[in-house]
Amino acid sequence: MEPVDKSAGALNGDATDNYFRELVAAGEEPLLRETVGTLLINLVEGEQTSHSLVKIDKGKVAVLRRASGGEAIIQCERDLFNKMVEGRKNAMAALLRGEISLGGNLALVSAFVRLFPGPLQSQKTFMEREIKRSR
Amino acid sequence: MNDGLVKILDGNTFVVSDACGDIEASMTDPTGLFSYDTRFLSKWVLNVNGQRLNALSTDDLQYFETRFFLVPGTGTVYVDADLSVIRSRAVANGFSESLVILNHSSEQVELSVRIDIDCDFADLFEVKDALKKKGRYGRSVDDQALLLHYQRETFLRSTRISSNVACQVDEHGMSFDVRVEPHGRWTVELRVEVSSPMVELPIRGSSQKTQRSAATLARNLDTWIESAPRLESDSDPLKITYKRSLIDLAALRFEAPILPRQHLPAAGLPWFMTLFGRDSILTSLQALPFAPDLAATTLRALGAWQGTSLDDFRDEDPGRILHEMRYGELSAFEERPQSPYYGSADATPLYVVLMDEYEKWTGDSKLVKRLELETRAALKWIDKYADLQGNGYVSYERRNEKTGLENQCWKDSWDSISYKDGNLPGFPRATCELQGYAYDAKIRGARLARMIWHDLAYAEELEREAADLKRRFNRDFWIDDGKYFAIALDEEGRHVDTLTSNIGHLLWSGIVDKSKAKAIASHLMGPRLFSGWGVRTLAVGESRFNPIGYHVGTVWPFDNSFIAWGLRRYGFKEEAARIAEGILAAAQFFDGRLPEAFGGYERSMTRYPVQYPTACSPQAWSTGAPLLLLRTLLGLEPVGDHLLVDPGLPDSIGRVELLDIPGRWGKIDAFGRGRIDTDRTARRFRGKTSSTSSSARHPRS
Repeated sequence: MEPVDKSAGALNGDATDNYFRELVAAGEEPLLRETVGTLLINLVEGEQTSHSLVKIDKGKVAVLRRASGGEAIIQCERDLFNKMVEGRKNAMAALLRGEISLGGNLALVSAFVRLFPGPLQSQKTFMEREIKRSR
Repeated sequence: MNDGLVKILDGNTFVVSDACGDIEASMTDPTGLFSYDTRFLSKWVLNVNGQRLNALSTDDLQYFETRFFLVPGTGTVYVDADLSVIRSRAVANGFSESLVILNHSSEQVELSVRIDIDCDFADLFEVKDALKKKGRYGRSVDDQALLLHYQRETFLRSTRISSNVACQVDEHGMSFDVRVEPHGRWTVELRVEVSSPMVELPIRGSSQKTQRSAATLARNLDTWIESAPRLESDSDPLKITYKRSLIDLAALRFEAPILPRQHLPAAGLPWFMTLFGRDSILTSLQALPFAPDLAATTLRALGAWQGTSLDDFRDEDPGRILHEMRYGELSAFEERPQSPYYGSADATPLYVVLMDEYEKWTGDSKLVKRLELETRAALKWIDKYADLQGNGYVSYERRNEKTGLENQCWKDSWDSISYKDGNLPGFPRATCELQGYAYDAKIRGARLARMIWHDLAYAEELEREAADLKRRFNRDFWIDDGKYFAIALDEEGRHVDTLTSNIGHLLWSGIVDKSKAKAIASHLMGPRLFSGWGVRTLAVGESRFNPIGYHVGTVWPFDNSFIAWGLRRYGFKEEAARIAEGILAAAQFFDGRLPEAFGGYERSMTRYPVQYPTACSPQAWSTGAPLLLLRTLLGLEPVGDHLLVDPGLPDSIGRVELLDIPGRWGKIDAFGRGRIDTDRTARRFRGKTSSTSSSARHPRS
């Protein structure tokens, strides 16, 4: 069963699409080198829901358009997911607010969420500090 | 407990009530049912015929259950009551409570029994700081249950109270019309269930979803105590303290949602029943010879949450080990940064220290291989992110200036780091013990690199860095005219020159030059630091010294357990025994449960240790202190596949046998007999604050 995903977000090439593309293209993600498993990500956008099955095999990541399977599930608004993968929203805080639903193997979810970047501004602060320190 | 409040808990869920079992909390009052840092019941008051009840006695059965024996009455005079009420409560995803009413007369009685119920859904931090709520409350009734809920945007928390007996439920409580036959009884079972994202999570394999009965928890506690080494001793107080420590450590365990069915120590009961980097690591270290699984879970959980990016609000850096995790409303709406917060400068090097010590005891190289990347990232953090001044020392300065922590070392109160004249230094601050931890982390990281990861080049690099750090540290932190190490370097690199207990941690880390160790030991045992019970946080004579100041004069059992370990490391057996004797003697005054801290008064003056008033008891690292002191007294040191035993016991303790110590050797017994006259040791140091520099003793490592 391979349902075709026609959600608008998937065709737009938004932050989420870019994020998945880069994750796959990176070839190997060291933070996931001990992780094996599949994670179903359901992203809701109005009436539509897009489904991605993330397969993690010791650092290698593949993303499939598939609406079933997965030892763990993350479900939230696509807009929130876009913001999380851009470092504009924090996943743990969103979970506590009830904006994310989780299921299954939480160790897998936490391993995946760790990859999300921090806020851009914080990286700028660090760069400035580095420059100051090197003087 | 001595504040008149009764506390029971299971992991992240706990109930605090008065001696009758009633809860009547205000926004600033710390009673209630709490789960994942949110209050789920703020009112739970039992009335019979419109009257409150009186407590005859309270029976603390176990840490997770209690029983209240109650009678109706005025509260001033005990009359021979015709009725008694037994209220039994056990924590389990909320709690369950059974009420039994006994009629002692030969007449039938008709009673109206009522429980008033309410909830403010306060965040733990709101209770502490009296903050206002921003969401909406709601309540609804269905036939046998009352549902209370609170909503702020998508944030939803609710409590459901139900009864197994027909009753009238209204929005403020439940009423029962009760008839009890002559010499008969009436019973009801009430169930209070909480709901939040953390509780709802359908966690695979977790025991949280299955109903945790009191019987299961009791079995679990028995197994826990049986699997720990057995202590035989001439000293009954020591045996009592040991048993108390094991039971309290059991109560302090909790399950992190990402590691179901595995337990790690929380920081303190009840307000700190959550993951703290520093507290969980130090407690796991103290408990290693007794319960090594705690260390394994701590390493895995903290590894899973290790920082991966820069986040100023959370003071997060790549490789940094978290400081504190919280699940309440303020974390959810980012009004507080604990989701999690990373502002700790010591947890990261200590993570590497625990990793190595754990492997030395257990031989579990598999875990060290699995967490290789995390360990390397922690070591990298020391040089790349913690050297804020570019001077080769670990220092701290919060980036979250609103809600971050100012002092990111264990002495985290505002005035803990001061100059002799009482002034406070600016930021960044490089406290001395952080350099010791960093040194130890590099030395231990090098051992792991060589033995487990087989990366010789990395091992050598770490050893070179460690040697360089030690050389610079002994030069830059040493106060020559006082013969001790400054507590910190300030933002200009100048000495923050007070004499503090921090120098004891330096011995533990091994960063102290052999030639300076004797002077440090003399200070630790001298009259300015040593009170007779233990080493004070800040020395008598310093401007900010206050015997009941949180980090500026009190004696901390946990601090002393590491200082004693440090003294042993440099061969000061008698001195270590003297500290152990003082702290263990103090424990007797608290039925074996050491408080977080006690007053830094002279032992001969007060004759008993004056407890510092804190909200948390037991505190994890105070609970762990007697365990580490036992290890230190017996001189237990894993070497290869063997456990070295080199006892140095005070004569007041007599014979000590620790049986079935688990480790890579299987199980081993250790024996010792007290031969050290600690009074003599004490006399030797009276009136002596510093001493000459040569030492006949040699570090063990």
